[in-house]
Amino acid sequence: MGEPRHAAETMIEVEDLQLRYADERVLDGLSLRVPRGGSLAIIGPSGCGKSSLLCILAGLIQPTGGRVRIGGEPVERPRPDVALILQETGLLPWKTVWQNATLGLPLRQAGVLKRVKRALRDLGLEGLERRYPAQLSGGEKKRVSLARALAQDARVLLMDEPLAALDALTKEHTQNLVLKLWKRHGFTLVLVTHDIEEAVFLGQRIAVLSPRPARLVALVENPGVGTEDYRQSEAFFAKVREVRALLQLQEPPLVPRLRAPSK
Amino acid sequence: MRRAGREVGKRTLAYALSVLALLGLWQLLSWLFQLTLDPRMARVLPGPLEALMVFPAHWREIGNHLLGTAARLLVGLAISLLLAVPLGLVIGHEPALRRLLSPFIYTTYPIPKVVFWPILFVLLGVGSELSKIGFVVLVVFFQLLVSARDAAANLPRDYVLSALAAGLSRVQIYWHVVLPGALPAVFTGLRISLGLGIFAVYIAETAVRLGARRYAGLGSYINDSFGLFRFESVFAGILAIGLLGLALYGLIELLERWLCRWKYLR
Repeated sequence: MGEPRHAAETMIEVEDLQLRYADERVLDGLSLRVPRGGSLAIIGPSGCGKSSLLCILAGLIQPTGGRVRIGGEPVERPRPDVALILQETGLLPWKTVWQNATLGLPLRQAGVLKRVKRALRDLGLEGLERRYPAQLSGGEKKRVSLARALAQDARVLLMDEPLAALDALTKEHTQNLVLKLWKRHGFTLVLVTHDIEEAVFLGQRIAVLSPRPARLVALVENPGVGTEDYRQSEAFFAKVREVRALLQLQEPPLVPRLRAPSK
Repeated sequence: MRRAGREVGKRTLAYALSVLALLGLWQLLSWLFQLTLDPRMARVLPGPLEALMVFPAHWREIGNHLLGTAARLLVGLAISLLLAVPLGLVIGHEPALRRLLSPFIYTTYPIPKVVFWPILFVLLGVGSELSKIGFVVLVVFFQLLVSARDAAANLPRDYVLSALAAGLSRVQIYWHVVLPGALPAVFTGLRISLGLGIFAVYIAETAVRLGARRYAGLGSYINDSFGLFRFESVFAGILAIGLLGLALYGLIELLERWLCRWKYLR
């Protein structure tokens, strides 16, 4: 597949997006564009509406205003070319690795079975097909979710804090794996995360959102994305500092500043 | 495989020890009765051996009654499961339906179902088999309905979102997500329902005794034995009910371990 295409062609288009739950505004006039084969990381304070935005992109929630298009078509319901990976409970615990990886896929259609087997093999899950999620490590569970997305042959991969529960080393390995798959398969990646380093490692653009109701505070260009070595570079740390500064402007400090004791 | 065998061995030993302890306690109480009470009063609690001795002499009679009770109980439980579980899952999974029907459930659930006897008699015939099974269904139905409804309502939202995003239809969501996710709670409800069901079938068999006497049930057998002051037979009947309960609990556990095997993984 080679390098992802970063042509100007827009894959995901969000315009003046509004979402309200009863009297509460969740999203307030959000506009974003992601080019075909590009990657966008969305970061913002807890509860600002990042996951709701992802659910709208996946066709699971209908916005109360604005426009969302994927591949030029309006998003009205879940689509077979859009895969969604959720945080912890994305896999169904009563289904085996094979059943999870093939959930909702038309297995009788030519080539689908082959695709599932290849995805499981590529992600090192061969031989684990009959295991249940409870019998897998955290990293293996994430790989099953990724295998499902690959088997689906998705053009767009949406990830909602998918690596949050992993230990530091497994998280880094899985981030490398996501990067490799993104480069090899050329899908468009949208990642919602709390983790600044993760956002900078995987997002060619980083959308920083305000507290609820979420508005776009800044769209940080991050052209260094694309190699595993990026996380060791000075450019990476500079970008992390830049995003951190933008985020700190959005959230009050968790620990109140203490006055120096009077003498 | 060897570990599974050891597990079964341990469980059997635990069951055997429990039964032995229960029989020992029973024998002790019976001796206490005989030591402290008037002999005519002490007869109400014969020892376990005396009760067990009734089985060889009356095994056919007790066996037929046991069959009658087991059949009514199992048919009642099966009908309740078929009605209550799908309805409970739909009510639990659809918030609008939950809001609409929950007040109805909360109102009818606590009513002692004995008050519906006259209606059952009119609808299904006085003392008929259908009225007895109907009573079991009435008692057990609400317990299973509430278990299934709560389990479906409390299912993590991400399971449903994941399945919807994978393109599953609303009906497929029930089959692949809501039913298997709620199944462990349904089994817990079924265990509670089994105790309630045995109680209901006992009441139904003692309340109106018409029709074939041969399969009248253990409730009827125990009631008749009371009337004749055959206390050994009363306790033989109680033992038979206990054994029926034990066998059905075992069956439910086996079924749960098979259908919810993902819950028992190490």
